[in-house]
Amino acid sequence: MNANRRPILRWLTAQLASYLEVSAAAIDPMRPLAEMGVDSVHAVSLVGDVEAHFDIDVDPTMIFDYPTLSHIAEYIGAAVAEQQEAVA
Amino acid sequence: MTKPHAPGHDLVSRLRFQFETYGDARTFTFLRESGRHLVEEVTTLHELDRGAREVAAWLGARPEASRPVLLLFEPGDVEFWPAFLGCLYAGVIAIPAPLPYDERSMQRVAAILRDADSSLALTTAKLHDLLAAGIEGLGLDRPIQFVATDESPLADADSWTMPPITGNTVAFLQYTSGSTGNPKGVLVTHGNVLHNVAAISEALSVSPASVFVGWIPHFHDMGLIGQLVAFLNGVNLVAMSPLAFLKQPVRLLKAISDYRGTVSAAPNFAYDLIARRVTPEQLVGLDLSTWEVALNGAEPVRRRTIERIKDVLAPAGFKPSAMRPAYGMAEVTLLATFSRGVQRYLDADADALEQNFYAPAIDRAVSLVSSGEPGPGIDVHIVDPETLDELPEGHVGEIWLRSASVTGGYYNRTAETAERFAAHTTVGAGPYLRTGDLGLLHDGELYVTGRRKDLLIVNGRNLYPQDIEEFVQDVHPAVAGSRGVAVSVDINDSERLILIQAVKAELLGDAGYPELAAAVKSAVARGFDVPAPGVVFVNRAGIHLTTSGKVQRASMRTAYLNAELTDVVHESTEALGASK
Repeated sequence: MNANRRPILRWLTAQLASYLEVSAAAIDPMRPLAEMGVDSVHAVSLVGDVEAHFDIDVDPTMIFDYPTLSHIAEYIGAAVAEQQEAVA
Repeated sequence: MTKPHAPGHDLVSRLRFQFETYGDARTFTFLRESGRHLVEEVTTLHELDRGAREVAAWLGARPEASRPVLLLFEPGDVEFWPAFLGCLYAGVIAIPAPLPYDERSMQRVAAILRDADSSLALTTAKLHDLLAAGIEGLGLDRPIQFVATDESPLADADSWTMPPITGNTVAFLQYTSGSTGNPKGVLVTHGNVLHNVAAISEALSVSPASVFVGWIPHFHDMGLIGQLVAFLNGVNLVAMSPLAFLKQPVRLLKAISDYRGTVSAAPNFAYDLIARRVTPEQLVGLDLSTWEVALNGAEPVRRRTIERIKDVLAPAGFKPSAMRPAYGMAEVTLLATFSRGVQRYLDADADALEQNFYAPAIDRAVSLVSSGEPGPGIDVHIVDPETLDELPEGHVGEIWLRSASVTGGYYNRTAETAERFAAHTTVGAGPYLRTGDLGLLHDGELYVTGRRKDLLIVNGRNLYPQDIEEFVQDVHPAVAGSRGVAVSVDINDSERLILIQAVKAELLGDAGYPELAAAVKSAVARGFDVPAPGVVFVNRAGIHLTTSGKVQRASMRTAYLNAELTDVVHESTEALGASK
């Protein structure tokens, strides 16, 4: 597991909580986003914010390929690591 | 019809007149996403005209083009325009449809092809194979041929000749309404487009110096007609895809600032999104002072959104007068009424409104947002939907429209067209378009109050579901900010109000669901003077939303009646208020 995963997950949880206007504690990172009532506008918002915050390119289908925040955090961790290796 | 600026009463002569006047001086700039950046792709109006003539010359020799031709392009993509204009130039009926992305949306495309009896679809080389494979096996009687219009020219542009086209020639079919399996195509003529574009241009003071900036896709009436307004006024146009906007709403503001944009249109939810997601830091260095018209239409306009957006964007020089609510629908081409820059609200007395008339609020108030005055050449009437009597100012009734902008009806649906598009009042005035929306006129401005089919009638009084839904939000923190619907169902020959409400379990505190249900029931009963409603609490996922995030009352009502609601955490719908 990537060492950066925990802060990434914390950031993702805070973003999603702000879109859904709920507390971060109400977000279950293991629960599929669709089940939490995330609509397409929220999903695309999350993709856009991930791109800007982590400075990585994200395909809009991320939400389908990585259905939970936990999965998305793994994906971001790997993408950021890959980018750092490419720069180094 | 307003006086034409150019010869011809058809769209093609008018478009070509502008393209010849401004061909190299005006451009369509597409801001294409490339990684995390937007890259400028500039096409002159002259180039669009040439591409259109190539497509039109080719279509002229295709027998399949005697039936409507489907257009499937990436949202925002400039490649759509030579194909669409090519259909117009050839006198062929175009169908601008949303690009399918899954099984369900592919089924909708198949249903459109069936309804229009089409056998030809235009697309790009990139999408061609994917679409052709996707449409196979959907059980269409007529095989569909997909043709890419963006590779080598399909025909010599100079071989195109103008076919006989009049104002009554059908320009395109707008499939905006109807369910997935039963789509209805609004039949829009050349004359409809020219009339509505003239009304929009006059009401919004569009001039050749205007600059349009937008992201609404071409398969949405607001995107399609908006871009035609730009072409027919010879203005510069800057566009990005909906995805590019939704990812980073600040991109729209940046484009307005960079290109000195003067006009941009969007539904209310997009302004809400800007207000919520654009940060003060992102606004630094942006200049929105050129923005004269921020058209707000295509869904109910919220006072809170208008006030929020004015506050949020004020530091960047956004003019409060720019926010322009408007009312319309595909059946009237696009728009019927427009705010002219002075926003009006009515604080209506809720009790009076339930009795179908406006009176200044005494006790419980409902805030109504003006959608402005009727556009030039558009008559707006308020009619009692049951008695068909025309109602005076200040009375709530169905909004009926009469105008050269009112379209030719639904394609191949004679009965529905007659019912919707050829209504007459009791004294025989007509024909009118019945919009199905409810509203009132006050000092010459239209206030939309709801949709007829969502109306709740409890004890002979009309209740507006959105009012009850908003009211419930204040009852307890566990329901504040969560979606819910108020619907009415018939039980034992009387209408009963049912609330289906999402609950945040973590905010329940010491209360249990039965206590929360009891609190909601008594508050609604007191607040609206109705019998206690039935209450169903669900998790967030149990509320049906459209892709743009609107609650689907009709779908929730059906699910309730069929006992098919999902994510139910508590139900208390016994008429006597006992919890089960």
